[in-house]
Amino acid sequence: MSVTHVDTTPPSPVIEITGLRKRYRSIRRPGTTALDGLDMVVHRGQIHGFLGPNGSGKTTTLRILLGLAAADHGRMRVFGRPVPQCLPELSDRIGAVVESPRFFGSFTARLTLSLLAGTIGLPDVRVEEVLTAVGLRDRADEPVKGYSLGMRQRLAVASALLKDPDLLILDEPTNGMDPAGIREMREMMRGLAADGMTLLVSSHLLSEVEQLCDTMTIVSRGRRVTHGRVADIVAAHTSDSVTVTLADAAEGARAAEVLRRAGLAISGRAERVEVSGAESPAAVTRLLSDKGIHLSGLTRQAADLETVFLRLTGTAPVDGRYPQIDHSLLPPAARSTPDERELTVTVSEGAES
Amino acid sequence: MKLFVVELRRFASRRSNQVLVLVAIGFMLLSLSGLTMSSHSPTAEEVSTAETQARESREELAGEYDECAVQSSDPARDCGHLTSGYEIDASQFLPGVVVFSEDAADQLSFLFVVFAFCGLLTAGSFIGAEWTSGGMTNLLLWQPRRGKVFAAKTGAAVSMVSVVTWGYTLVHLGALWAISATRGLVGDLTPTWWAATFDLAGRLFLVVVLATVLGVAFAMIGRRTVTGIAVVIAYLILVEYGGQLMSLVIGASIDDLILSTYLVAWINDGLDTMRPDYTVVETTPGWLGGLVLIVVTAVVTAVAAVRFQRQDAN
Repeated sequence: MSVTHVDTTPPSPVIEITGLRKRYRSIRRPGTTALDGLDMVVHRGQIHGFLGPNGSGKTTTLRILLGLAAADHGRMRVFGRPVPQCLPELSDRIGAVVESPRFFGSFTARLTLSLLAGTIGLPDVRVEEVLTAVGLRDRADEPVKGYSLGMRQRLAVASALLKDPDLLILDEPTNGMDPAGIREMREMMRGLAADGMTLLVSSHLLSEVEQLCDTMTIVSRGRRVTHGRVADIVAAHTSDSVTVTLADAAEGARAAEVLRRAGLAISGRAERVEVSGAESPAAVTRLLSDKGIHLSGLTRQAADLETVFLRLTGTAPVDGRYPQIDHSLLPPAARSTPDERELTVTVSEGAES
Repeated sequence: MKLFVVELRRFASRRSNQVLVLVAIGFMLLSLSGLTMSSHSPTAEEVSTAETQARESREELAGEYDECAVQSSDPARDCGHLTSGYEIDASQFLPGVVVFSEDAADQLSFLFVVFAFCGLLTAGSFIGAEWTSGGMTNLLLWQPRRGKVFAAKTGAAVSMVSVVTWGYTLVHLGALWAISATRGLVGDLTPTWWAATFDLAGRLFLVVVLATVLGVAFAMIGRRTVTGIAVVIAYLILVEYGGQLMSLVIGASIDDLILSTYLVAWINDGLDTMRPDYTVVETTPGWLGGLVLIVVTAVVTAVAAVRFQRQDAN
């Protein structure tokens, strides 16, 4: 009898960030803390969503990870190797789009990509491949200054794909794209992940993240709020309540009384009653129909990612007042202490296997 | 090497640089056309008259030198400026005639000074536009070794400016020679003339190179195209012009403190300057001028490289 061993160890991390701190200093203004001990882990082959309100440190994290900015404290490893120290050896394996796409306006898309490809000796045929992949092939000889935001975004993604990287970091990749472009981008990212590429995607399009990402990290004011599988996080914040809509509004008071007697918590009035604590929606239906109260609707109160995000980051408008930038929720202090002065960013070697 | 080649392509692909080259070609065609139309082959009578005028001028200056030498305890020091009169020859008395041996040095100086300015401007634009367009950030995602990026961009700017400078100058001087040979005078191209011309070209070329490197360095520091030009203009107003005014007020020379002294000393292989009391002539040797220019450029470049290495890329 053969025994099959199932490897239950998690895939090796491609990105590990621990206790990352960054403060922007200014002579004229008080300094701003962009990152306050951020932790993040992205495993191989995942599409990892990186979410947070404006000013929560997402772009700063990506910029530090890619060597464009220096951290004050913290450790980072990419493919198991410390960065930024090892970034020159790893840069061929990392494709990235950071912030809004900006290119030299009088250059064409083809020339822009050709110059980038030339820096590491990629053949021009690769330029044609990525131009085709992002749908810019037929407009590739026009100056970039004539491009729409969505076209520039496609060009930025093309530049990130040029290296055929193992790790793709995309900051708002669908910004400015039309619905078809967004869908194409989503399908492309899925395809890349299916081929083994690891993707770290920062986005404010929560429905996109919910559809696309396997795991995610939510940050607020430079600290991690939560992380894990998208479905698990959403499920953890989904209540067991249902909304009952009565066929006859006049039955509202009697329905409420029946449900209350059954030990269920209720709220709402007239024909719409919110019920929580029920064993299942079917139990609510049975309870009311036994008393001759008929329903015209019953809806489970499932939370979506947007609701979870707003709740976790404290950015939902309350009583018509909108939270200001930097007034989002401040999560508890990160595990790492300011004494951890060593800076190491790693992309794990094991991800190659 | 790959990065260097890419930066050469990037420099050559910039529209502003292409326009500048076209403008330069247009200027060359215009100026050479003007010279062709205004020059003529001198008649024997014009040459004879010019030779007479040159001889008279030489004799007049020789007399002045002799007079000065009698009254001076150190003729070499006090009357040296009069010896230049012995370089007078007939070609200087032929108005409306292009004389290659006479005009080449002036044209060379003019062209290299213009190219030094263009080097400062185009190199600054090359780097400044990269910063403002986001190209530098994109490039650093591909090549995180910032020292390598700095060196490649500086090398590309210097290489391209050098190629254009020499290419343009050689074509321009070749055309000038052709005009002088057909509608003027070539003059005496003696070994001394060639040596002096190559020496001058070498000195001017160093100025072009240093100006280009400064253009890169200033734009790296300020992250704007205009930084280099702004610094040069501010320097000219505050230090060169303001300093000269101040020296008149305080009655002390500031010649040792301003770059123009060293620039002129380098180009002319030495510069004699007088103290405010007009009694003592100070000589700034050419090598010192060159050394000061190189040290200043090296310091600015080092500051730019350190800033580029350490500061966040935006």
